[in-house]
Amino acid sequence: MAPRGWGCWRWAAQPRARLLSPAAAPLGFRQLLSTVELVPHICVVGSGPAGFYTAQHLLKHHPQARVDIYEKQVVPFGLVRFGVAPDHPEVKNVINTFTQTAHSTRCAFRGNVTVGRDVSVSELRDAYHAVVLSYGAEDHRTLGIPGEELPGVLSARAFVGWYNGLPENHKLTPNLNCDTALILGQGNVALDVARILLTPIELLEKTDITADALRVLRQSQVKRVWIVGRRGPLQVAFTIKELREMIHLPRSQALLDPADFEGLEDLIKEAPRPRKRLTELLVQTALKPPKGEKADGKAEAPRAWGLRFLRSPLKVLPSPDGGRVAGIRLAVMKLEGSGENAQAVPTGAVEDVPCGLVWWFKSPSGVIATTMNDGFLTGQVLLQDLEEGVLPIGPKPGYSSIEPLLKNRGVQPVSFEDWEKLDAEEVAQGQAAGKPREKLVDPQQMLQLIGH
Amino acid sequence: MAWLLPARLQPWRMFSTSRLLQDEVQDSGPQQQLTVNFIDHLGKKITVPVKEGQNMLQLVQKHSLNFPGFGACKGSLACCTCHLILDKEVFQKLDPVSENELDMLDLTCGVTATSRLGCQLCMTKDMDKQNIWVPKGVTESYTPQ
Repeated sequence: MAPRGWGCWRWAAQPRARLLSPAAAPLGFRQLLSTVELVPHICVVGSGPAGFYTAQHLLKHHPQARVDIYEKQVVPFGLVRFGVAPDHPEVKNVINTFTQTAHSTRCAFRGNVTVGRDVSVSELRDAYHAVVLSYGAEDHRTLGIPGEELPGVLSARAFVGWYNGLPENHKLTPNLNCDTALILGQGNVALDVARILLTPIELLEKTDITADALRVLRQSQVKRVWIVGRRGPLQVAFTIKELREMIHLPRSQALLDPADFEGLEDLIKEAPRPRKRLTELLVQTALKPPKGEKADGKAEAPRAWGLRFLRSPLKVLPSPDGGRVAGIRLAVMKLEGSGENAQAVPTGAVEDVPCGLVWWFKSPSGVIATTMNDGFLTGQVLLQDLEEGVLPIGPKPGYSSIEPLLKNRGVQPVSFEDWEKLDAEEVAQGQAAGKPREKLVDPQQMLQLIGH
Repeated sequence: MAWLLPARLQPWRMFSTSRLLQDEVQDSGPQQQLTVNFIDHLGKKITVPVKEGQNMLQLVQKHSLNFPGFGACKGSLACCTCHLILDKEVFQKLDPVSENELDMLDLTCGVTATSRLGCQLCMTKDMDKQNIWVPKGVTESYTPQ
């Protein structure tokens, strides 16, 4: 095994060493504050994993840095709470680590504060030595095809927000009164949406999915979900764990056209292991369905999901009365090039697929470890900038100058202790229903509960 | 005032400590003390005592080894932050990696042919006195100008 990382150790250890000068070390804490001139006040905007991991790194590697994490929601944790699927509770274990970070005496959570409305970025820049923007993607892009305004065309992002209790999507309450749904995109969020639609309700009842989502899903008529991609089976963006979950979904069968998968195994011999194993699983599911009892059981499955490749949306087709979605017109594509960089180009042919619901999205990407590394990296770059004097050197007031601004504007920030009260309330409510928690979805109610 | 004594002179704490150790290894019989060397993300070598069967994530936590972000999902095989890299010779002597662990390793940044997840890896005699690398993570993805 080749040595790894030897070149970097000295540089990585530097920020910590330099700020706490050797002369200052034997002095008491009070003296330290007055002699080492700088207590860096750092502002992090957004309390999702990126924000918390950045804060964690800063607090760990700078002995005095103070970090304020601003969040527009009343509650912390961003996409860990509002993005991770309710049936993936283990992924949410990272909340334990974030809670430890928030408990640091040098860290404060400032929820219910919208940067850009309640406080401006320039005000934050005046108050803090550095402002880290880790608020994620707010942009709601449109699908950009005729008919996208029809009832039944949903942004997958809003749908995910709805079943995860994101306040702004609280009123989405989609009508699932049709037998076929179609999802545009073949990433993990597409599989999350398909899985939530098809999972037997008694399994979802044990998760922290919202009560409203359970009510709607209980009445769902959706029996078939098509997951549609512009490119081919070798370019799907979902990962093997999520695919395996779909394949093992109780009372659902996979609808995979063997023709899409024939000969693929020869093409992936040189592919990296993740792509290779993913493709092998697809091929095995499509071409070698399980034999015996299990196969019989699956054949009678009341629900099904399928992958459709080389299709790009052209137009959402309305029902005869124009009142909702009746189908979608897809352009048949072909691939130019191969592998990850293959491009889909139209062949000129089209296909109409009947369906009562269409989901589309542009979603965040990456797994938690990616965000973790990005967060640590951001913290590291920031500490380096501090050390090199790129950031302001003089003292900064930090939150003490922001607090009166917020007060004057009638904004009532929510602290981490406040969140812990809400957390306890959610857990207590969930316990009554046999769920890990019942998420509160109404910000007004949350603020009342914490006495704001 | 007995609580002011060092832990080793407090009989009840000694008891709880030994109980803890017994809990961590399945086999309660006398065991040979093994060691393992972690090469941390900064390249520093840390040698820790370990018994056969000890889980690597738990070992890292027990010794507060402070690898950045290690074990985010608390060992539930839902993240890949406890990524460790073994020597080929050691890797080959271990039991085959489970399908679920491989699924997770497939999402791991900088995965190698001899990568394992610490939460799924337990100490064996073949790992005695061997090196286990913690990926560089942060330092790997950014090179200062």
